[in-house]
Amino acid sequence: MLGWTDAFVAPERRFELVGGMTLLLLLLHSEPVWYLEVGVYGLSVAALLYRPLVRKPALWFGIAAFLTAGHVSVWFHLDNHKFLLTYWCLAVGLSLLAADTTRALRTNARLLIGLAFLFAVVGKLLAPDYLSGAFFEGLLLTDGRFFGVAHVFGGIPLPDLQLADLAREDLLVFGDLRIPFDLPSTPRLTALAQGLTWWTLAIEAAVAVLFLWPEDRGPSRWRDPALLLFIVTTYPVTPVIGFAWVLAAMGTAQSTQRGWRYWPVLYVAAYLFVMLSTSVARSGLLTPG
Amino acid sequence: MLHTLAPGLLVLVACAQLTLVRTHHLTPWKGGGFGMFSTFDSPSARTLRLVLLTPEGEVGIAIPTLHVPQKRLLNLPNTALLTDLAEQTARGSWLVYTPEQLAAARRVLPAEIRRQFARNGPSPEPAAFPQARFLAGLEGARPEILGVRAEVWRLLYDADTSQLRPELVNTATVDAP
Repeated sequence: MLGWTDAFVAPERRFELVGGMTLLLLLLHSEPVWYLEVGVYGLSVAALLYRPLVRKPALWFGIAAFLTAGHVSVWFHLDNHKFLLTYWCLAVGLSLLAADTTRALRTNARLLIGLAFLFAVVGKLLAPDYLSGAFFEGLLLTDGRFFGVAHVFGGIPLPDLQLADLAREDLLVFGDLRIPFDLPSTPRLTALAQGLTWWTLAIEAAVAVLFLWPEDRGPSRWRDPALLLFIVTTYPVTPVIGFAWVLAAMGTAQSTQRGWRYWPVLYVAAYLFVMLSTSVARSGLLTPG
Repeated sequence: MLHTLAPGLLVLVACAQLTLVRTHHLTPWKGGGFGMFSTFDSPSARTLRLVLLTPEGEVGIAIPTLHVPQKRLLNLPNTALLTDLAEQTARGSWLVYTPEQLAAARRVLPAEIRRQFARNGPSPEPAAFPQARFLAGLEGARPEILGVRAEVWRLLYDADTSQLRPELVNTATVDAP
């Protein structure tokens, strides 16, 4: 008799697992556009309550159509993972039409992850302020989600960061934009920003190369640990649960039975870890001071 | 072929986004190009300014009346949208208050302006308000409006000086009707 982990990662259950992860993501992190919500929530709830629907291409094409219709009108302020989720739902539907659904789903997931990370790396290389470390330093000093990091590792008092944040908001709304605005940086923060700059570029480039590398050849066996490392080191600090979840769902879908077979368990664990760590972070329990 | 349609769409949209970033000032964070966390030029680092052009000089509008989608304007500030906003603003009625008037009338000022006073003190510049939201008890001037300039700015971080440095993204100026 199979243990629960063996049953969990069994190839014949993979599609249901990936479908369930995607449906939960659709229910909890869709764009708040009413006609998108009506369609996507309706179809997702139906498929969760009656699981055979998960294997119907029409379900995924319907969800992709509602996502597309809802996203078109707000594309200029839509987060990138909402685009990725739309492509993914379309890919799931198309994979169900293929002669070998598992293989088609795996290929789509692998390419979507590899391409998303490739463009993320290209964006960083083209940006005027990324490689110098200026972007991460500025982010740590102005984005409230990172004030704890700037305080603990950069040595900047929290009140200084909060005061600068309020003054920056006023500058954007009312202030004299001709005058530069001082922020309270430190050499430690600059060093931290440099570290984050090169770590992020390295891990994203690694994921891009590994996922775009031909399947089952050379370094492609390092795909799963690289993507999991990215998820668990990025999203507890940058809590974009929707992005983490779509990556975890696609990661589960592309993971092969060759090599170590329990990667899907770790993707599901990462899926839960990001959700729980975000909840703890939002509770304020970890906020210094 | 059909089975790689989704990755193909990703590439198509991402290439279009890269083009729009360079040609239409789209913020790299948005638009499906996966440029988030690559630059300080995010939507929250952008701001809109409207300036009345009068015979006495330029006057910033304190509370713009927007008939265009603000998120669209900040994330993709193309010239057509800025021109549309400037034209709408030029057709409006505006009252201009001196810094002294604003300082004396803090109590009746909108909450957001009072907040600015509390932190930074009054602005040294005059400010224009829509006539529909005139400040009770204040005699605002009704300047002749020669034109309106709409501007979108972004803040960039200069690591050498630890300063936020404003930079004009795009602007459009129209004559008064």
